[in-house]
Amino acid sequence: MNADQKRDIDVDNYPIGIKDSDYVPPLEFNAQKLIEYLKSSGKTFSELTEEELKQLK
Amino acid sequence: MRTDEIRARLSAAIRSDSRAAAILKKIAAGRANFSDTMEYSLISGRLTGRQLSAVVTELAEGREELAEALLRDRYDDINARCAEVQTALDDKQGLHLAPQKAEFPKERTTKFTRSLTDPTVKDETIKRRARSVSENITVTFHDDFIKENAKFRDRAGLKCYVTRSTSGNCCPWCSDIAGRYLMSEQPEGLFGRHDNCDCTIVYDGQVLRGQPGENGRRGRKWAEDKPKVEYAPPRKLSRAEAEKLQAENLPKRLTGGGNGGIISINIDELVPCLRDNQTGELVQTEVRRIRNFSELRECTPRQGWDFPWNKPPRDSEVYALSVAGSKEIEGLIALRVEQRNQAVYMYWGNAAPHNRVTESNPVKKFNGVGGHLFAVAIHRSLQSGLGGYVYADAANKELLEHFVTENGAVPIPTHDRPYRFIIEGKAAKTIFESYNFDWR
Repeated sequence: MNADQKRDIDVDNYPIGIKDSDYVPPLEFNAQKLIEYLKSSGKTFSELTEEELKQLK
Repeated sequence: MRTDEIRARLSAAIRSDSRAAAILKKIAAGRANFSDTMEYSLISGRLTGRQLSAVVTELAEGREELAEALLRDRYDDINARCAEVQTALDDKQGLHLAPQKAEFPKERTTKFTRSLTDPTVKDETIKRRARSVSENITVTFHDDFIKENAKFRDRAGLKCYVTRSTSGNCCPWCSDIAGRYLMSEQPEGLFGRHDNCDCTIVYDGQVLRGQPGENGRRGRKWAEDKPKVEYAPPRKLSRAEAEKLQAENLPKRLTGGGNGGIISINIDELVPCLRDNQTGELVQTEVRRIRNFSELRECTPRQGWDFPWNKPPRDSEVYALSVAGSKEIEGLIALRVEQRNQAVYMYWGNAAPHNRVTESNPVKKFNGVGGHLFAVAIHRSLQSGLGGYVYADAANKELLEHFVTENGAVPIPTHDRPYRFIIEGKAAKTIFESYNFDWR
């Protein structure tokens, strides 16, 4: 996908959320702590270890 | 630090809180209601708890005096704000009843302030008490005002209804007692509040007026004067007004995105108000919470929506976006306030079928619904003290990338939720500040 195509995305046309799901369990960690940690460590979420995720609960 | 300095610092912190300042402005303009004063009390409580907790263990002496002084300041302030709102609401209805000031809860306050000097507990416990109990007491000043005034009016023969609403992710006790009750028939404990409770308790009263006779004058026979429901036509902005609004809001989007980078939202897709695609005009919007889901019986997949909105997730709050003064729904969002995770989850979000481009609907009625729905979720997060943090599951990879590059979203994919993302506080506030809507 190039930059022009990206610009063409209109968020109005897409739903947010998962269809056919009447219950979604909450996050298993504190969102604010997580973002702070990602910023300070320079890691992406996928790069976090299980140990790190456990500490962010 | 002297008591007076701490008191002044707390008052300044409340005044400089952006949401509290907006509410004070609304009160001064006579446009506020008790939901606004409730929110103001919750903010005041949170800041009081934070301030007291930060200094209490540094004081060898004077803890009790300081705590009581801070609480008395908040008591005076909250009662004064509520009285202003009550007077403004009464003025609109031609009523002239003096607002009642609830008694200061001396006994409870003394018990609390003494607990701050307890030598048998650790400093951490003292700090926790200072934070949570002072926060709770501050919020109950508002509850006491509501109770006192609803009781006073009930005794004066006016029907008053007290409404207790939960924040969504609340305890079973709050869920059970939440509802709307006639003041004289309210359940025991309706005005109760546990620590960290952010339920909203407000009241509204019946207006009795002399009924108009044949000559058009009001007679001596009093009856309920039900407000006439009239919907004003949507406010359409001129090109000059729209450009001014755009110029005011657009610069806010150019800084503060994601990890300190620059976000640049395409104004054609995310507009500060809804844009009528036929005329290009911007129209004002309003948001209301849906409690009776039968109202959404036409908002199901059969009618072109993506979700069965008449049966939303049981632990969600549903909000509808409309053009100001219109009942037609332009978009819907279902949210879950997650205090424990310090974020709001956007369960479902959907622009109405007529606001999406499909084969059968090549031209949308309004542009900008999606951005508005995000702003509603962020508002709810800010209102709940969660700093604007929201998270959601995007429909696909392209949309996720769009949110990441354009809105500063942070992907948090898991094996079963590959397109999950968080919009962190700073980026969220940038989006939120770009939208104007009223709560109904």
